[in-house]
Formats: sequence, structure tokens, C-alpha cells
Amino acid sequence: MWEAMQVSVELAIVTTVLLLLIAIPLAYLLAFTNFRGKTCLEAVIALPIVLPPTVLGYFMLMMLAPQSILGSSWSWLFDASLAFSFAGIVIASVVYSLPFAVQPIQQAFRAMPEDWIEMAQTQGLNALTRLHRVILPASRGGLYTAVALVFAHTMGEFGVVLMVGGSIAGETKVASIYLFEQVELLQYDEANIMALILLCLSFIVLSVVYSLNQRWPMGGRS
Amino acid sequence: MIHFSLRKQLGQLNLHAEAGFTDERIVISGENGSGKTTLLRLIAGLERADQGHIGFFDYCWFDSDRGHCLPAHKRKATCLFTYASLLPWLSVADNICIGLTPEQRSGSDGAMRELLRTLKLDGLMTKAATHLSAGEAQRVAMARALISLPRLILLDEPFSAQSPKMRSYLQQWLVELHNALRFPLILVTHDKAEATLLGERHWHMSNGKLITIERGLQKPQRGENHYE
Repeated sequence: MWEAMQVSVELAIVTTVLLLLIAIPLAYLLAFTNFRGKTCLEAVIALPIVLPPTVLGYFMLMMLAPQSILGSSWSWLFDASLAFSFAGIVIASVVYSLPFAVQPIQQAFRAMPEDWIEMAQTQGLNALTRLHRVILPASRGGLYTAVALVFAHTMGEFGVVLMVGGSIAGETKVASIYLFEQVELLQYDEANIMALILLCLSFIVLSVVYSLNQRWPMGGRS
Repeated sequence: MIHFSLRKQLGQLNLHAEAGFTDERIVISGENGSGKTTLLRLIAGLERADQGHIGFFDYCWFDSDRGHCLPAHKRKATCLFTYASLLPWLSVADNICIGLTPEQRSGSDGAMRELLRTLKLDGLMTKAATHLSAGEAQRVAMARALISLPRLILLDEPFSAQSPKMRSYLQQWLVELHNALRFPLILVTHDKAEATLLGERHWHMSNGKLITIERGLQKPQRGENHYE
């Protein structure tokens, strides 16, 4: 049981870190610039919210398969398969949780008073310094929300991971898959404990999100 | 020498402004919605004109024919607009030094104390920016504008939140500071007394058109009172 829990926590941490790095530039692009195909990009990012996890997992599996471009270059580089591996489920959960990272950050960027950015511009700060000194600190609420949501969402992942990773103990067997297997085996004691842990974790994460939002409400001058 | 010739369509308003100056204090008057603030934003680089050019001494800031537009952070025109735009999570000192590099900052401690004393902000240096009155916030923004020597300063109603007494003190201080340092300065105001006190040259904006009044004619001609 603890092995599955450990895989889930590791997956959640790696996914959260990677997603922050990906989501901040994406949210910046969507919040502050206009370009052709922006609506299309927004729709693609939001897809995992409405797509059944098995459908997403199926496409991810096809993308990561040894015959695919990604899968074959990975095995050429690292001499390992991407499908049914930890790296594979990391990639899948990054895609799966993308909207949960991009949307709160994008919202926080948009809610920021425009004159703060203009002030920073006329004070001579370039785009990168503006991001670091003004935009990110002003969007703390959105960033914390993104971290908490991605972490919780990844902890509870089931369908996508099952499709892409299978259920290899210590590698791709995550908490929710372990729970499912215990129920199938009629091992209700273990299932009870795992379900309870996942429930508490989600509750704690959401409580943290709401209290953070109260402390740093989205945008607006204070 | 700063010279600009700018055209911009803003909904119904057709802005057209052409003028030049060096290190005088320019005061722009005009009705609300006549395009005064937009003109300052165009010069600062916060907005882009449809057509025209801006030359800042030997540099070209904007030239629509060549498609050249220097971004605002490279122009570094010091602006003080209606909002104080203080960042609420920073202290007063951190707000003032937002545009400085760490090295510049460690070298400007004395200048900051002096500025805070002159602007009657003593003791507020470590205070959070959220705990200031509107007048104090506006003076902190003034300190932020002047912490490094400005190359060009654009002021839009910079004393609007001050009490009458503080206002006349600040006007006097700005005149003295400018006389000592001489830098290009444009001030937008609706206050007739402020315009008379501060302006070395008077420009008037009406319906998007900039009317420059020749040097030496310090007061508007009779029957042409722009400040009422």
C-alpha cells in the first residue's frame, strides 16, 4: 500500500514542478498577448477537463508507444520504453492536469491592475524582470491554487495512468489503482484505509486553496 | 530636443499633435477627453500612434514609416499618472526602488532618505504600501519617479490627492528641483494656478488637436482662458 502511495506522491510532485514551468509561460501568452489561434490553444489546453480520462490515456499511449516518434526517440536516448514507465505517466499527467495549472494562473494574470505593469514598464523593467518582480508576486493566489489543484488532481489520477502506465508495482501502480485492485480482490480493510487517506488529502488541499484565496484574492488593488 | 508628430484615431477622437521642446516645463491644459493623457501615454510608449514619429535627442523612439517603436521600458520616461500604482505587498522603500538594480539600490539609500524627508514621508520607509493615505501614496509615487535622475518626466495631475497646503508646497519644490536639474517635463493639469506657477510654456489640447503657444507668451491670451 505504501509503495503505491509513494508512487502517487512522487508523480504528483514531479508533475506539479514541471507544470509550473510550462504553465507560467503559457498563461503569460494567453493573458497578455494576442495572436492567431489563441482561442484554439485555449480550447486544446481545456480539453482534458471534458475528455474522458480513458480517451486521453488512449491517445497518450499511442503517442508514447515504441513505434511513435516520441517513444522511439526516448528509447534511442535512454534505452528504455516510455509507455508503461514512470516517465510515461509523468508526461501523461502533465497533459491531463494542464488546464488546472494554466487556468488559475491565467486568471490571476488577467485580474492584475494594468497600471502596475505600465508602472513597471516606465520604470525600465524588461519583460522578464516585470514577470519576476511584479506579475508573479501579484499572482501568488493563482500560483498557489494551481499548485494545490495539480497536486490533488494528480494524486487522484486513475484512468490516464492505467491506460499509459498499466499497473506495475513500484513504477506505475498509483494509489487509486491500488484501491481499485484491493476492491476487486475484496480486500476491504486496505481499500478502506487508502480511500480514507485520499479523501482526507483532497479535503486538506481544497481547504488550503480556499484559505489562500481568502488571503490573496484574485486581482484587485488592496 | 524632443520632437514629436503623432496621429492616432481613438473612437470619435482624432488625435493630432506636433511639437518640440528641450528642458522646459511644459503645461498642457484642455477639457476632459481631449487627448492629453493619451498624448503622454504615446510619448511614454504605453500606446502606439497610428502615424508619425518621436525623436528624443539623438534617438528615434518611434517612426511609423520604418515600423520602429522603442518599447516603454527602454524609453524610461518617468511617469506619474492618476494612479499611484504602488505594489501592496512591498514596503514604501521597496516601492520607491522597484526600478533599480540591487547595486543601484544600495547606492541610493541617502538619496531616498532625502527624498522622503522633502516629500514629508519621514518614518514611512518600512511601512507597508497598503497602510498609506491617498496623499501619501501619491507622494511615494513621486519619490519613485525621482529616485534616479529622470531623462524625461510626464506628470498627469500629480498633486490631485494632496491638501491645498501640501499641494502648493510640492509645486514650489518641483519648480526648484527642476530649475536646479533641468530636464524635459510635461505636466497635465486642470488647475489654473498650478499651470501659471509651473508652466514655462503652455500647450492646449482641444478635441484631439494640440495647440502650442509660442515661447514667451506665458499666459493665455485674453478671451482664451484654457483653464476654466
